[in-house]
Amino acid sequence: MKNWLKLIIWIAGIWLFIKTAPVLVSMNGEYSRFIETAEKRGLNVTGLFYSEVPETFKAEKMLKKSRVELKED
Amino acid sequence: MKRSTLLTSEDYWAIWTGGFILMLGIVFFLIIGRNSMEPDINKAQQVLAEQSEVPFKTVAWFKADEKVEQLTGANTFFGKLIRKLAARPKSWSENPLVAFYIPTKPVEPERIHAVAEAGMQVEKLEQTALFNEGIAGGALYQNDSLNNAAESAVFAWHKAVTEYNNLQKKSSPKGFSLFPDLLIFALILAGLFGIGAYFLGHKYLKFVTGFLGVFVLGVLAFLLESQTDMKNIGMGYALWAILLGLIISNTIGTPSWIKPGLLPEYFIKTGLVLLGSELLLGKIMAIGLPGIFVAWVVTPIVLVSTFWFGQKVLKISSKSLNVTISADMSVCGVSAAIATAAACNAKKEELTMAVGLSMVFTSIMMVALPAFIKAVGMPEVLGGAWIGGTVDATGAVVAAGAVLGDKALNVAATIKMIQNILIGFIAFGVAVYWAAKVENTNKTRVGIGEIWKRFPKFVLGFIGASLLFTMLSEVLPKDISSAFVDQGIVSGYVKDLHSWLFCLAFASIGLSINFKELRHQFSGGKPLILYVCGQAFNLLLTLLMAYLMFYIVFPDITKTI
Repeated sequence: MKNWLKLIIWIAGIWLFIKTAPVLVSMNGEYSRFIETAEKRGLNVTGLFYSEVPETFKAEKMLKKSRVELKED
Repeated sequence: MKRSTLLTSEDYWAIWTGGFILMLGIVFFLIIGRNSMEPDINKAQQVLAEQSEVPFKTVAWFKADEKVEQLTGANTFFGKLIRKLAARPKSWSENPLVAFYIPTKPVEPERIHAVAEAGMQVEKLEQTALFNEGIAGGALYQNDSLNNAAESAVFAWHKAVTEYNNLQKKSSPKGFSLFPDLLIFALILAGLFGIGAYFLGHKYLKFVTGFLGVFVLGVLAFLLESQTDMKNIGMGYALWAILLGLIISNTIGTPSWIKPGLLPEYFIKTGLVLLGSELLLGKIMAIGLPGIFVAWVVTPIVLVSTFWFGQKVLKISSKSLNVTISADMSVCGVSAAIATAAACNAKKEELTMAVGLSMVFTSIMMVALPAFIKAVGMPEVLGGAWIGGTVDATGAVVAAGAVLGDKALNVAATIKMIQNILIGFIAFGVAVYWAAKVENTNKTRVGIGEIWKRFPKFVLGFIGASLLFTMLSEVLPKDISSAFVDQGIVSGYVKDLHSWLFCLAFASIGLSINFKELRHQFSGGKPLILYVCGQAFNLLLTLLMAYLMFYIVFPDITKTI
């Protein structure tokens, strides 16, 4: 019974964290700006590896292209 | 009868399982998918080459370009099937159920009408664009005003096409249900890993039952990650999976029926073999020599210095904890921690500690670093390179770069990608060092045979996959490689599978450790001091190297970015 109570408290803690963290974060201007940018561009902030973030492929293409142009010049 | 270690060792089973998954990828993406799409890709490329002679982008050019974008491995039948089966819970903010299920709603007649009207507008504008193109072509593209008129007409048509596509996407019924797909996917994974588990001495059915329990926890971790606010502050699945597992094991206790499904090392090592296929060495030249210096020279220096600092100054008793945190901080966070911990056979608690530190500091640095860069007026390219070389997780790097601007985003993302590729070498180096030095308790010179005996064999699968896919990527024509390796096997197949395996591994780790042991690892706060000191050195050295490379040694490259 005590263990189940502990589990319920943990779940409540996670729920509380999900509810309060965004409020706390929004109080910080820099965080708000960061989140706004990420949302506007649809970025996957939690992507761990390059393959999980499509923007890396676009960036690679872009930089490779600019290097080719530099060589051609 | 005694079975060969090829059939009883977890390392080899990681290679067999990962190898089997990769072989399926080669067959479905590079053979079947490529054969069905290559003629269309070549045709589209031919159109692009022909149209490049025209001084402006024509209707045919845009159509061919769109075709090339769509003709990728991810859009083959197998690519779509994998995307459907391995789909994670979708984004949600208040109601978690919408992450799994949204009923199909009928489209309102107004929307259908709006789409039809937009379609008619596209047709009309296309006729105008083609007419103007014809007139400009009639003058052999020598008349600037005719060229400009044609270019404007083509852009007007292209804009209308984009709007039409967006409208069509919004108007299509959005309903979906992930439940049947998740169930099928769980059963496929359980069946596949069950074979390995059986040879590793586990009962097949008991493993499958336990695995399904771990899978449910993995789904919950992905669900918490996909909550919009949690995603925005960088709370990834790794942290949630460990936390959920820890909560269960330290409150009600891990249920006995789940325990046979807890094979974290097997999942991690197989995930790493898959990850090997993403370590395409050709990518390291994406930004030229400055990128190599920032990502491949600074990183090993920081790693070795931090490890030395941990041993000699902080006197951390566990070398594996020290090297896992050092690699995690200096290379690319969680992925590097996983690879290094597996290579040096670190304890689960040690990997958990490294992952926790990385995620907390990533959440801070991804916001603090761009704010500082903006405040001091640092150039975008330098800022991007600094972020790419120091912030741990790729997603956070890209978002932090985006706060500064497009140039910073491109540089930061590319530097991080080059650094990601380094983890194969780091894992190999750590594995050899551990086999030759750390595990050599007699301090005598050990021969190759002894090193081989101690060497974690899954690393061979990891490196082998990297070499095989690097070769394939370099041998294939550029467009085919991009469509079927980058946009096929890597981002349309392996990426999803390695994420699932790492998530299941972290859930298993959480379910098999306790808070007490974790507190013991943190004793004296040495891991935190190690991370902070190492990161401070990393910040200084990366900034110095980025400045030297992008502004002193190779300013020409910087100008073109």
